[in-house]
Amino acid sequence: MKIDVRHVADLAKLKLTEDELVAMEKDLEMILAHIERLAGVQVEGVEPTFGSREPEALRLQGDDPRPGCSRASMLELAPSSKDGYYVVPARESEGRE
Amino acid sequence: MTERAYDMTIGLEVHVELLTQSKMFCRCSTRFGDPPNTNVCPVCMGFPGSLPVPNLEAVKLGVRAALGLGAKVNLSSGFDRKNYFYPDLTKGYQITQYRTPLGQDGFIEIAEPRKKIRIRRVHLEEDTGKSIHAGDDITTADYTLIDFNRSGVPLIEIVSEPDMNSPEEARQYLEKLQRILRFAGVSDVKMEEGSMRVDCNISVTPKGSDRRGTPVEIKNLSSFRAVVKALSYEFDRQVAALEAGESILRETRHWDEAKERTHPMRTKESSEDYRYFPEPDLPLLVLEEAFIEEVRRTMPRLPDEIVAYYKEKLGLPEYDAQVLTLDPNLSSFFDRCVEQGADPKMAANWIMGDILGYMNRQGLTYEQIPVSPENLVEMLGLIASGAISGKIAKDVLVKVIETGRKPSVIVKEEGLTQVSDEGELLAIIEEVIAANPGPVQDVKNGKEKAIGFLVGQVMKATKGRANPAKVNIMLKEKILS
Amino acid sequence: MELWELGAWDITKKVKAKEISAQEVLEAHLSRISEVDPAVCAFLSVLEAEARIAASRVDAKIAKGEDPGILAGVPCAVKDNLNIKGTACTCGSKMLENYISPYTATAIARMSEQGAIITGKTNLDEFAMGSSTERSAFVATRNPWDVDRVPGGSSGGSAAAVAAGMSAVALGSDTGGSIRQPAAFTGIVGMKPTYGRVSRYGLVAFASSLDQIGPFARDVRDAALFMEAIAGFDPADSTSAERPAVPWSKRLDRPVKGLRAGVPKELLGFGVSEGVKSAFENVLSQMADLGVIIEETSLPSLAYALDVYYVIAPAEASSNLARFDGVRYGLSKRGKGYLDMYRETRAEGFGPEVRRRIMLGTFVLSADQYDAYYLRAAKIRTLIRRDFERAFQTYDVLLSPTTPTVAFKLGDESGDPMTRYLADVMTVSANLAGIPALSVPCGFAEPAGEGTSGRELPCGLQIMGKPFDEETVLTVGYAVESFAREEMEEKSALMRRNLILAKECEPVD
Repeated sequence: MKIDVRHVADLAKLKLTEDELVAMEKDLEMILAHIERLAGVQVEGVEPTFGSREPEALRLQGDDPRPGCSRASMLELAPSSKDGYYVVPARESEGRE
Repeated sequence: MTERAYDMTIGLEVHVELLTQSKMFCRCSTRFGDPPNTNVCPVCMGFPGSLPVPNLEAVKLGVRAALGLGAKVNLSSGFDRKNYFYPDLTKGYQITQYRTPLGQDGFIEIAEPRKKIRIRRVHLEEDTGKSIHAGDDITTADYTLIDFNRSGVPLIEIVSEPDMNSPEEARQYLEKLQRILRFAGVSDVKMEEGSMRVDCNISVTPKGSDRRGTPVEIKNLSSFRAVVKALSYEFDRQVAALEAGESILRETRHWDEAKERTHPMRTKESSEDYRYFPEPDLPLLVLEEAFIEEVRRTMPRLPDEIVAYYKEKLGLPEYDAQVLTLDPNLSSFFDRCVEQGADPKMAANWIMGDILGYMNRQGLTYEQIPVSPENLVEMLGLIASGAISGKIAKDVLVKVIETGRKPSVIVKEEGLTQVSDEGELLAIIEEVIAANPGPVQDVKNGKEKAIGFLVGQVMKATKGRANPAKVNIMLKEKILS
Repeated sequence: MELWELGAWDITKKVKAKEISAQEVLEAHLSRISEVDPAVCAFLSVLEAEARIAASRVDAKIAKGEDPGILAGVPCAVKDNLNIKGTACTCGSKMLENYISPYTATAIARMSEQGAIITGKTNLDEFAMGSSTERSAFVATRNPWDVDRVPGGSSGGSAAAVAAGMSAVALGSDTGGSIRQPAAFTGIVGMKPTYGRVSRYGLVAFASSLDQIGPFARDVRDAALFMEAIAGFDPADSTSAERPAVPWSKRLDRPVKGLRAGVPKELLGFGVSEGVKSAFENVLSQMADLGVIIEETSLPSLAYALDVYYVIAPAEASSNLARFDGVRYGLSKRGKGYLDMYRETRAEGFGPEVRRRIMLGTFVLSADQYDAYYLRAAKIRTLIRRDFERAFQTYDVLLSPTTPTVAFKLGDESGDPMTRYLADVMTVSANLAGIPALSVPCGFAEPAGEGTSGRELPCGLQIMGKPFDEETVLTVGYAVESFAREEMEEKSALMRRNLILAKECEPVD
């Protein structure tokens, strides 16, 4: 199974060096070779399971607003903030205009 | 616009903010205008370990929207994760409904041409935070400021089928959608405030061809006018490209309001793989028939229903009924006037004419109707009883609006009561006849129209207070007998 | 007996009877930590000040005659992927090295309300991904039985803390065996509750449909007591079941005679070592002596459980870890555009195992692969659930060894990630099916392939039960632990004393 590791790394927003990409491709292919066994299982007409069996249906909560976290406590954890806002670089990346 | 040789096919995706007090998956307030990052908590901020719990009111309003748009409400629908990276998306995924939406297969009927635009789906999702680009514009900004107050606000997304074939049809669809959702009390639906956002898809094919053109998505539309302009521009652009033998790129384009053109967006959002999968933190949303019936039973009446009622039960013409149902505040104002005994046609005329006229001149919105139903009804009563003339009433209305005093009080204090007493009028009429021999002679000679001038003189002499119909009759009697 | 050798049940009994104070118990444990943790490296942070305040509060309540809670005075270590407001929550990762929790997990709040004294945050494999605790970005925790060996993972720190006598009980999380496997490797009791039994609010998510918080303890009764304190419906967790906690600790000595236990043969084929097999069979025969009816059974879809797990868990993890982007908290590599910020922050913040699982998860969720991998795995998950449902129509519990081998040596990397993953084969199916599973110590065995060293290490018996039937699982566990109790106590006491002599472990560079 050939995996486009560059594409997957881009989707996952992980920067990998050339060596890391090569190693990753090898690891993933090894794992997928094992997981390929699943292709042989008979699943015709079987419904998928995605989560809990109980509760079966969502509980919905009321609309009354409640105070959350104080801004100060959260901005303490912020890597960069200004005047109560979070700050991030504006451009996508270096050199792209 | 080269209409003859090419057809255009338009689909619209509309996002609408729901009128809830708190957010879709947490209890933070949705209040607009608070200082940045003050209505936030671990859930809507995507802090590690937080979990979503959905808002019942959001589901109710979502069901209302689906019902109002003639859509089938799915008794069982699910939430899914849409995975992508963007600074205003706190979890790195948005919780939305991909596989099974809350509602599907609805429609909106437009008038010109009379056709149904099908609605493919109506689904619930959460909003992202808001980005403000510091610097002059997006190309020179060094950094972006993010406010997460909006992160997690409940939205519904309404996706149409590509059933529209002109920018005009698109505009009508949006106006009707806006009206329906406003009347249903689902959302304020104001593009200028961001509670309604529109993206379009447009494809162009040579007329008669059965091949669909390549759809191009347009974003960054801030008004209905912009939608119309952008679609027209894009149609021309695509036609020109096709004529030149180029193929249309499947892409997302950004509408530049200042330059009135579209250009390709810098991000590769359109080629993003969202890796949708069912949200493991949320079991299925299962609704009972009884719940849906309750929502249907308790939801406000929709515009089409109200128009039919005004026409059939109150005898109003189509035009009046449509104007009165432009906005729920307007129709409910009208309803209260009628409840308090006003003649429907009279009330309609005054609302459509003088009141809306005043509001337009003063730049007032439908939430700011400047007179109370009680006062309008009282004034209409004064006209009906002959206490004041229609003309005087116009001035009285303005005075009611500007001073807040009751019409009867203004009429009394300023002595505006219509004069209908023949005794009072006779004296003035005799004066006017005496002072205007020429016109009087015209009347005697058969020029009935000259009466108008003489009536005018009496009105002038009485400062408009004379009952013009009475004056007319009395003048004729006096002159012609 | 030293105060730090007391179990939770005894501590709360004595503290409530005013025989000892919560503060005394705490000090004994804090001393033990400073004496022994340099050799074990179980703790990432010790919360002395907060613990002392909590202990004095418990004593004050008792003095006033108020109810101090069912865990009154019990020192408890907490895995560092659980949020406690105002304290570090590193998840064993550089990404959150300096992160301080802005809120407290529900399970922790409940524990504290019941009088437990939180002594510190324990080491784990980064973001709970791993089975040895070597994947922590900071330090590799040692197995107190042999400091050249792993304690298991990902909750290795919590397991080692309890095994070494540094904490009476500890909290961990289990996604594919991360409580049970370390419990087996360190000779203690570890439980993964039914999915939905304990609130996940405040647990940093790894795989949302598989994660559960659970207790480590030195005996079943302590584990049961801890479960009572933390279990129960939480409106903040939409996957939390509306089932109140049951007084499990008071229902343990139900007779097990006549209970039916099935042994799925699919769980015995995966490279189970001779020593482990022998210990397992020994337990089974002792259970049979008590009147438990033991039979081999077959759950055919369990042959695929590991592969299903390694599609679903990384997929959900890849999504759960997308929030670590350098914008609102955690590591942030700035300087260029925001895409660069994401890529560099995540490359530097996440270790190789986490990156590998994110890549695998991203791949199996990608548009072309979703049907073949994620959807297919979800369907086979249904088959696994059905197999368990069918088995539980006949059996009250299902049994297996918890792990194929005893604890392996540190640095035992074969270069093939799959080999490491294969060690999870016994435990993952309980997470996929959402059923409760307990590991209890069941004897000792020699490590395979190392010649006869005379070195014996603990083995665990895994007991799986019906959804929400923790009661039967704990009852069987209670009966089983009595078989090896004397041997365990003797050897454990020896192990704990020897620890002080061991050398200090070095942090990861």
